[in-house]
Amino acid sequence: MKRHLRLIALFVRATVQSQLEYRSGVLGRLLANLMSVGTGILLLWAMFQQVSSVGGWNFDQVLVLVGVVYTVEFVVEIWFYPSLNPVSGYVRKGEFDLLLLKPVSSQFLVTFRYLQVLEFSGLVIGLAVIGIGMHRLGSLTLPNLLILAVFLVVALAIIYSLYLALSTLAFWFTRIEEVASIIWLHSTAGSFPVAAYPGWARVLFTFVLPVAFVTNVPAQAATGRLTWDWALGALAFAATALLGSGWLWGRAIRSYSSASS
Amino acid sequence: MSPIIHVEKLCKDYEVHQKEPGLAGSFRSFFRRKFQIVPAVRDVSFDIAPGEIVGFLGPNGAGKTTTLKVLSGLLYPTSGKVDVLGFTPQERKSAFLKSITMVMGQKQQLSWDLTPADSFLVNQAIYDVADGDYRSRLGELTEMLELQPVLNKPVRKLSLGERMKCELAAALLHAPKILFLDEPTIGLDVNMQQAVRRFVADYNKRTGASIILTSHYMADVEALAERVLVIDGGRLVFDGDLSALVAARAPNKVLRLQLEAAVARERLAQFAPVRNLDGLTAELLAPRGNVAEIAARILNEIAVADIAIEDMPIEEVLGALFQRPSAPQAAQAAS
Repeated sequence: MKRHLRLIALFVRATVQSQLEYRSGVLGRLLANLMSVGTGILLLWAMFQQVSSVGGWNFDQVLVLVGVVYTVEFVVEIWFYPSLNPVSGYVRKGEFDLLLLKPVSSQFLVTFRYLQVLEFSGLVIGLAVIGIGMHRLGSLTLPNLLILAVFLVVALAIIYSLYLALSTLAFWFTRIEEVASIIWLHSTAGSFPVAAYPGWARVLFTFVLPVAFVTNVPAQAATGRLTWDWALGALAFAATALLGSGWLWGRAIRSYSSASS
Repeated sequence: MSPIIHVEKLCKDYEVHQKEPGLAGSFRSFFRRKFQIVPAVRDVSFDIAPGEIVGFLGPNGAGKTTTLKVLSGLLYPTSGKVDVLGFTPQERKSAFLKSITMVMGQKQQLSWDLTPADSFLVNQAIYDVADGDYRSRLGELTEMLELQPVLNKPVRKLSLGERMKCELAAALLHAPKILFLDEPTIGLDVNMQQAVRRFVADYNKRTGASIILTSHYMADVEALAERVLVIDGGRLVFDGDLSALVAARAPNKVLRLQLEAAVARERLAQFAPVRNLDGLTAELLAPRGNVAEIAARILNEIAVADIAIEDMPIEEVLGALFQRPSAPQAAQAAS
């Protein structure tokens, strides 16, 4: 455990060092993030000039939901995407060999390799949007924040598992960057309360592409509306997804044979 | 002494995806892939003792790298028994991985944007090397490989040779008992090749680690390995002393001449058999023993712009050894 924490610290340090080598962009990224979040909220506000609720959620509740979407999206952007997206490249170029020869789990090595903590600004914006929404609803309390934290972690575990499973396909299909773009679905489909969708889409977005668990559940937790069935459902889904994607990774490693001799 | 590596009747097949020619073929194979089983290694058996340096020789695609990958646990054998340090390699147990290392000339483990020193720290953590051991080993490797000037430069600013030396250091910080070196000198200039060779020989003497090496360069294997395993078409065709093999089977060196003016083939043949004459470039086959004398005579008697004395290319030595061309089918499939 201590060795793993030390490794994560070293990987973060290494990633920060690499990023500092090419440091332009950090400020640009901050501005772009502010713009995209601002536009999103403006659109939402315009929509709520016409309707008073979407799927039973009012403006402030949807604002929290959108905050959750941004938060999850930024974590994907600074962590899962940079770390897991190169996997298919490792496989294609045969660099995976060197990873497999390390006496540390290869899943661990690829998961934490590129944690771009320098780009945290987007994350702060996402959390701020959640905070503003919660404040307007009067639900900004310590218990709500704690439950929110728990279900944000659960949401991230689900997204991580999904991304890992998609990256694992690289071992069989070699080129999967295009397939992996499905991962961004949570930011489009997930920006609305799942209750607003028709029945078949609700099932799809809950169990197949679990945007309900990834965005709706944390938003419900933040606004004190989370029910036991959804909470347990999210936990069960996350646990299954983590175990399943880990198992798939193990399978992939076993069937791996180097791309070049 | 009991062997550190024991291989018995190792076979390894690859499943190779066959693509039909043309666009229509590409579409067809997009939907229905045909696979062909290609044997890469066939019934290979050998033992390696602790401290030995063994060279794997063979033409491209002969099965050298495949064998190395099976020994290091990267590939599962299709059949046969493989025992390395008492472990079954493909289980990739932590204790096993901590006692081996692999350096591949064509692949790098150092991070492009980091300094070697930073990458070494990551390896220290990965291999769980205690601080004291780490410092003393790094000190020793830095001295042996003359790394001091490059330790704190980003890897992308290093030359290929400097990078290879850093790769070697990174691969040895955990003091492995077995080194698998796959084409460690590929692409390096002659000086750097020699530096790497000297280091490997020296490292073997200092630590007693076993070294298994593949190379295209005859000189690598000649300088390092007393024993060679020759693999051709996936089969082990020779296991034994290198010097005897080379002296007996490759008695000639290649004298490569850049002529200043055209010279008749017959004139050149008076010095040594002509292997090739193409315009102003000529290649003669000179016996090992008096290659210097022949070269001196040529320089005296005809106008030569440039002269080089080279070993027979390894493929040709092997080709001569087995009196047949290497199988192109197998070569293609495994590469």
